[in-house]
Amino acid sequence: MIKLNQLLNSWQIKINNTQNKKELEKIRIEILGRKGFINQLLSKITQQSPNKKREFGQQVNKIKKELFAAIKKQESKLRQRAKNQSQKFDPTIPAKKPPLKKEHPITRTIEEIAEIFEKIGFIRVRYPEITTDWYCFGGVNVPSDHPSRDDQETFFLENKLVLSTHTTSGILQEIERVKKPPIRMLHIAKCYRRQIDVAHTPMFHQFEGWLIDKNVSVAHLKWTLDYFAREFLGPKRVTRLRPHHFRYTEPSFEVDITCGACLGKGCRFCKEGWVELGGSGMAHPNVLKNAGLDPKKYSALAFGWGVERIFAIRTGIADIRPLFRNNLNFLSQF
Amino acid sequence: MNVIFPFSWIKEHLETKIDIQTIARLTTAIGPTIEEIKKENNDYLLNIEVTINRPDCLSILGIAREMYAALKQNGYQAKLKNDYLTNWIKIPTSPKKIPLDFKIDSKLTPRFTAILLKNVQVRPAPKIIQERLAKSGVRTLNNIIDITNYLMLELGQPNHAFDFDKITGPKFTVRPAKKGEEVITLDQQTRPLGQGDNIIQDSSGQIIDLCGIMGGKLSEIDRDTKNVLWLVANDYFAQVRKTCMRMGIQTEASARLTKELNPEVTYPVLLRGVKLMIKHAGAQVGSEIVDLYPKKQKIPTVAVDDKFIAQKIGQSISAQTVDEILQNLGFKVERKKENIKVKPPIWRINDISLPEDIVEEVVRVNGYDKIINQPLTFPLPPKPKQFVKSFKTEKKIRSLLTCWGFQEAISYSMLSEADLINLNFDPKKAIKISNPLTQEWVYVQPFLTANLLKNIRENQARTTIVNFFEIGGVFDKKGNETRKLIIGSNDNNWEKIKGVVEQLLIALKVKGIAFAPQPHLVLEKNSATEILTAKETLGYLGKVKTKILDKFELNSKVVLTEINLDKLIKKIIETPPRFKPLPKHTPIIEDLSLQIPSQVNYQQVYELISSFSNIEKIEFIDHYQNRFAFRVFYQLPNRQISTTEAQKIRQSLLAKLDKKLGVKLQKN
Repeated sequence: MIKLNQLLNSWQIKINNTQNKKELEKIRIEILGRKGFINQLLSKITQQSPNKKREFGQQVNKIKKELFAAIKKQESKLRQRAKNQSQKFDPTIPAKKPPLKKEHPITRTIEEIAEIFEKIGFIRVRYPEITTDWYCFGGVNVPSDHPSRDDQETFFLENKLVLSTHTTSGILQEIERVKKPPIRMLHIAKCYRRQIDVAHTPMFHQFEGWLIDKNVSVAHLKWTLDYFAREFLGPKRVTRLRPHHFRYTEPSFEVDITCGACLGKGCRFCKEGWVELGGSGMAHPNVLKNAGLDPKKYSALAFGWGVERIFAIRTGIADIRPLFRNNLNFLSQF
Repeated sequence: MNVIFPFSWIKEHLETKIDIQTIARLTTAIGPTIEEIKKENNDYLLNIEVTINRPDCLSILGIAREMYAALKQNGYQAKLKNDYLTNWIKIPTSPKKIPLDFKIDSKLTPRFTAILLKNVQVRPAPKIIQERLAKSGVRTLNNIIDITNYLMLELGQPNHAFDFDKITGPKFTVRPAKKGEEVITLDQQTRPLGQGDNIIQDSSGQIIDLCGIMGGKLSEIDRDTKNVLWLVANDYFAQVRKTCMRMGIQTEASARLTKELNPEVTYPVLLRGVKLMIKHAGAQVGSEIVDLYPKKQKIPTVAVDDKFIAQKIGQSISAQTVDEILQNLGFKVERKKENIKVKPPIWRINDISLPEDIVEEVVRVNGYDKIINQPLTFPLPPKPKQFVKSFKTEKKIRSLLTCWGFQEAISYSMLSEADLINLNFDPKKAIKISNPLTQEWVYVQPFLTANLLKNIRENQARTTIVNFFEIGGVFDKKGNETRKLIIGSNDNNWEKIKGVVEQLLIALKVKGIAFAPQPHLVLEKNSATEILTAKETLGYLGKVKTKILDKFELNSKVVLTEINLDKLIKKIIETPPRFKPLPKHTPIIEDLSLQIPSQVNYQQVYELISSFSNIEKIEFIDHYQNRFAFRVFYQLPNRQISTTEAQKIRQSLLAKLDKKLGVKLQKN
């Protein structure tokens, strides 16, 4: 009995000392093979006295079971070890991501503009892209012989309609909707002009703000424009107003901002340190009159800028035409 | 419009010791923008942008005047000199009648002045004139031509010299051209004339001038010219512009005359010109001045008060400053306490008529940088529900679709005729652009489909699966706009797009959505599906027909859906959801495999099961051919359901399914 237990022990040690599958397989054959240890033991059963045969047989079976279990255990241990050795942990391998694409960069710019102005109480609206001569020109004080009404600049349609050339076409419609001040419109829409070059596309977007109330002054307009420029382009950029001319405003000015490339020193991207942002002014009394408001009672500040233009100023994109080609490689950059 | 002027020339009208950088900064702040200062030898070339309403500043004197006002306002010493528009030049008079008879069309030529100059000597112009013209980018020829150009730059008014001996009097008619007529201009071009182009015809019937744009070759000044008919005219700007655009030409003269120059200026310009001709070409005045000015422009008087100015600007400006600013710009000011009556100078009449115009003059010269910002403290308008809902919905759609792997596109809303035909759409039903820029953009889009297909094509070479969506307006023949959403992908996966539509409508809280097969011009037969809510069409979805794919050069199958957002938004329920207590008891859950006959659709089975009481909900698991697996949740409202009770419900459910729809339980 003691002898059998010793044998069992020594085999177990051998099993546990194996370093790989091959060694273990060799030991397994030595134990369980046809001429292996167990069969050799069993062959000794005949040498046992008849009353001990049964007990001997049970003993051997028990040893066989234990050794079998030990081999299995070692096998899985070796497998695990091999696995650990071959598979190292690498968190830098890309995993499966949920799908994600983007809004068009112009949409995101529009959303950002809307958020900035909505914070100071402007109401975002949208009026039709196809509009009438009145809303687009006549009603906003553009005389019939003005260059913007030429065939060269405006897309004219059947039935005396036009593709709106600017978001100013929304103001009379907004006044018709609200009827009387307070009015604080933010009109963002597609506009159309008959031109194409690096800085112009025949379709583009504008955002237009009008605040109509009593005693609205240039000082309010300046505050509004400064607020927007700071929020949108950051506190380092400085704005200035330059006298300009638009039919719908009097006085009118162009808003400039210090150039982002040289910060106002003057470089090849700007004009003596300044970049044009867009137009603005105080409503021309005729526009208010045309909407049925008394210009003696009410005044208004107004501004209308190009979305693509301020997008270009911020991103440094020199040619805006690829914006509407919808190439994924291009769009994914923004 | 931009002009390039040498600073040395401006200084002939402006006396100052201030450096050009300071002058440029101050002038840009009040009006004409000096975009570039280029040093050249001992001079500076200024590149100046002038706005369309200020053609008076397309001149040396005009710029000098703005600089003067800017310097004075900022406390610098400066003096305006040689202001020929304020202090008119005297010229020797001649009692002789001009031997010519002019007839004008007062609409096309608001003012027409002319004079005959005799015994001119044609030779090179003095060096200073040549230099100044060269620096301003104008070619020099001879003294006569150079003087006409010099005068135009100096005072901003185009003018023209004819060789008097080459034209035939006595009658000259300034009139709109007729179709079929033509003129040979100074640049040797034969230019066919259109209806309305303003021309001058002499007695022999020859056309001698294309008014406001370029003179005729016929009467060109040459070395032997002795007598000059000299003409300073104010031509109708809109007609000059029209002619220029049609002919595709732009000259220094037309660039000025396409803006609204003032007819009051014409006469003093002629006087200054005659003086130059006498001095530099030895000319003698050969006739009295012809001045045809049938509708003399009235100089307006604008009444304003200091309070109005303060109100518009947001802060008050002293009466003295107001008066000084206006006077420095050439305005006449008559003050009675805080009320002023203002008369604009002759070169600003077109531009000044309202009190607001006076405010602009005062505020711009006073300086925008001096205005202290005031925050908005006005009452807030109410929020318009229709707009709020629309923007909110679109934002949500965009955020969901991008998270599901769809890229947003923005495309031109204009399409070609081929785009419409390729999508089986009759171009007559789309609204047409009368003056398209190219054949690529002739119609305003009646659908978003064409652009979606083009956008997929743009990317198919580089990306295997292209997922796009776009939100935009589509337009009918009358120009009415409908907002639509299109979603599409080129991976031939109908279920993916349908899944997106279903989930999107759930997320947007649109109830009662149904899908029905419906033939469609663009979509394949066994995929074309109508999306409905309460029997109203919201849109459609399906696989694009192979023929269409070929026409758009697409190399894989596209599935798309187009949804009417205007209709969709009306279907969105906005009332906040009410709380319903959660069931306290556990349901019995059972999977049923049902055999559905071919004439019955999924929706019918689903609705029948859902309508059963004590079935809390059902889930669709999967289907294979006509076998459909459902997961059914049995539940009682107030107590725990038992297996026997669930069994009973199932039996009656199966009986009803069989009786009503012929749906049977699948036996394994």
